[in-house]
Amino acid sequence: MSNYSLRYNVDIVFCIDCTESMDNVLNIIKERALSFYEDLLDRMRQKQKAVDALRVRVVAFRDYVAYDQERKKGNPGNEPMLVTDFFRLPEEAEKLELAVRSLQPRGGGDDPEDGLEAVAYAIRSDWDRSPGVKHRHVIVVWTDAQAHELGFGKASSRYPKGMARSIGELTAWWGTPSAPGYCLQGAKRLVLFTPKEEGWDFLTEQWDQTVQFPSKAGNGLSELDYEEILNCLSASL
Amino acid sequence: MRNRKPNSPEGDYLDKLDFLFCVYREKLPGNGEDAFVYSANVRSVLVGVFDGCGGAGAKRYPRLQNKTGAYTASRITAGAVMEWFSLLPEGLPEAPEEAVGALIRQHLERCHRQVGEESRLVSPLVRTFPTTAAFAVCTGEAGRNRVDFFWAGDSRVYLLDEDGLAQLSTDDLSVPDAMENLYNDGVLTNVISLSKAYTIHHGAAILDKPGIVFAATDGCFGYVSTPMEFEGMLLSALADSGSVREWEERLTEIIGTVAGDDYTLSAAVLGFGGFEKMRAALSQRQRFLEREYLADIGSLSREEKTALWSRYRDSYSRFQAPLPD
Repeated sequence: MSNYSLRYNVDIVFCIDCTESMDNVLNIIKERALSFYEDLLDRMRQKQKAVDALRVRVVAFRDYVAYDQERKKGNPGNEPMLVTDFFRLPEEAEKLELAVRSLQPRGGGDDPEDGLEAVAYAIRSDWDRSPGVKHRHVIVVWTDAQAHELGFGKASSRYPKGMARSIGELTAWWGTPSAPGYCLQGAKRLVLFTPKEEGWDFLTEQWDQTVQFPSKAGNGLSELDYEEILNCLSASL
Repeated sequence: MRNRKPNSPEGDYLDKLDFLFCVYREKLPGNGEDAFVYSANVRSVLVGVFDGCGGAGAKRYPRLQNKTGAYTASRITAGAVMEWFSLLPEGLPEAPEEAVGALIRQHLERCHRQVGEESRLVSPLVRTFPTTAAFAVCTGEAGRNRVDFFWAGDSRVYLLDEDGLAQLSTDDLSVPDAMENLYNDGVLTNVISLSKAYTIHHGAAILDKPGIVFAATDGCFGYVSTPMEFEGMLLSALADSGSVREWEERLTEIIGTVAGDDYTLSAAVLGFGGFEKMRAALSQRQRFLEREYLADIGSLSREEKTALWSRYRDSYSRFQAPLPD
C-alpha cells in the first residue's frame, strides 16, 4: 500500500463591505476574518484533512456610483473596490493582518452596495489547481446591505472592464455541476453573512454550494451556527 | 450474533452463511456518524452501513443529547432498515426499494417531529437528517446465492470472491469513477434526508461461487490512492489472520492507519464452508493482485496508477448495475 493521505490546498477570499453603515461592525468582522481561516484549518485537521497550502485574499467593496458622486463633491478616498493578491499563510500572515486591519468604513451612498461585483472579483481569483491534491475554493461575504443589480455602477470610471454583464453571466462564472465555472466545482463554497434581501436571495436560491447566515453582516451568529458553517465548509459534500 | 455461524435447522439459508462480521471505528469517540446493521434468519442475511453526512447535517440538537443531525440520521436509518428486514416475507416483495425508502422517511419524520428544530442557515448544502445507506439482502435461489443490494449516496456494497473485488452499487456522485473520486471531491447527487426527495437504488446479482458480500462507508475505501489497494488491504489482512475475528481486528487496524474519517464495514461470508477454506480460496487472488497491481504501487506516478486502474476496472465493475437515465 502506498503512503497516501488526503492533502488539501485551501484558498479563501474574504469580501468585506467597507461602507459607512458598517462602522459599528467592521472591527468585529476584521477579527472574525482573521480567526476564520484558522478555525477552518482546525476543523479540517479534526477531520484528518491535512492542509498543504493555505492562501487568503481580500476584496473590500463599496459602491461605484457613490464613488463618482463623492468624487464630484471633492471627497476622494472611498475606492469602490480594493483587492489584494493571495497571501500565502502562515508566511505572509502579517501582510494579511495589515491588509484587513487597514480597511475603513467610508462612503456607500444609498443602501444597496456593489456586493455582486465583489463576488465576481472573488470568483475570478487565481485559484490553486495543483494536480494530485484536493482543493477548497471558499468565498466569504460580509455585508449589512442588499446588493445592487449587477452593472448598476457601470457608468463609473472605476467600473471594471470584463465584469459579468448580468446575474446570468455571473451564475455561469460560479458554475453548475454540468457546466463548471471558474472555481473547481467540487471544491467551491460560498458563505454569505448577508441580509436575506434582494441580490443575495438569488445566490442562495439558484447557486449550488452556498451557505447563508441571514443577518446584517453576521450579527447574532451563535457558536452553534458558526460550528455548523465550518462543518459545511470542511466536510466533503 | 458475531463472528460465528448461527445455529440453524438443516437445509435453510443459514447453511450458506459462514460468518457475519463488522469493522467499526469512530474517529472521534462518541461522535461517530457511521452506523451499521447485520442480521440473519432462516431465509436471508442482511448487512448494511450508513454514513451520516457531517457537512450537510452538522446542526446539533439539544433534545438529542446535542448530537448532530448526521449522527442521528445514520442510526435512525439503520433502525428502519433492520425493521424492514425483520418484517420481510419469504422472497423480496415487488419494488422493495420503495418500501424501505418510505419506512426510512417515516422513521426520520417521527424523530424530526420530536426535536422540532430547523437550522438557521439557508443553504442547499444543509439538510435535515442526511445520511448515506448501503445494504444488501442475501437469499438462496435455485441453490445459488442471490444478492439484492440497495444504496443511496457514496457508501458501497461490494462482493469479494476468487475473481477479485467488485463494486455492486454505483456511487451517487458527480464523479462516479472510483479512481477519479479519490482525487476530486465529487458532490453527492442523492442522499437520504428530510430536505429533499431521495432514491434508494436497487440492484441484484446471482453469485455462482462462494463470496463475501459487504457494505462499507467511504472511510474504508476513500483514503487509498487506488481502488486496487483497498482490495489489497482486505486480502493481506485475511492472509495474515488465523480466524475471522483476527481478520476483523487486522482490518480495523490496517484501515485505521490510512482512514481520515469514521469507517465501518459490515460483511457476510457465504458458501466457503469455513475460514480456512475461504482463506485458501482467496490466496491465489491475493498473489495475483500483488504481482499484477500492487508490487510497486508506492513508487508509481498518478498517471501510472490510472493506467493500472484502467486494467483493473473491468473486473471491479463486473456486477455494476447501470443507473437509470
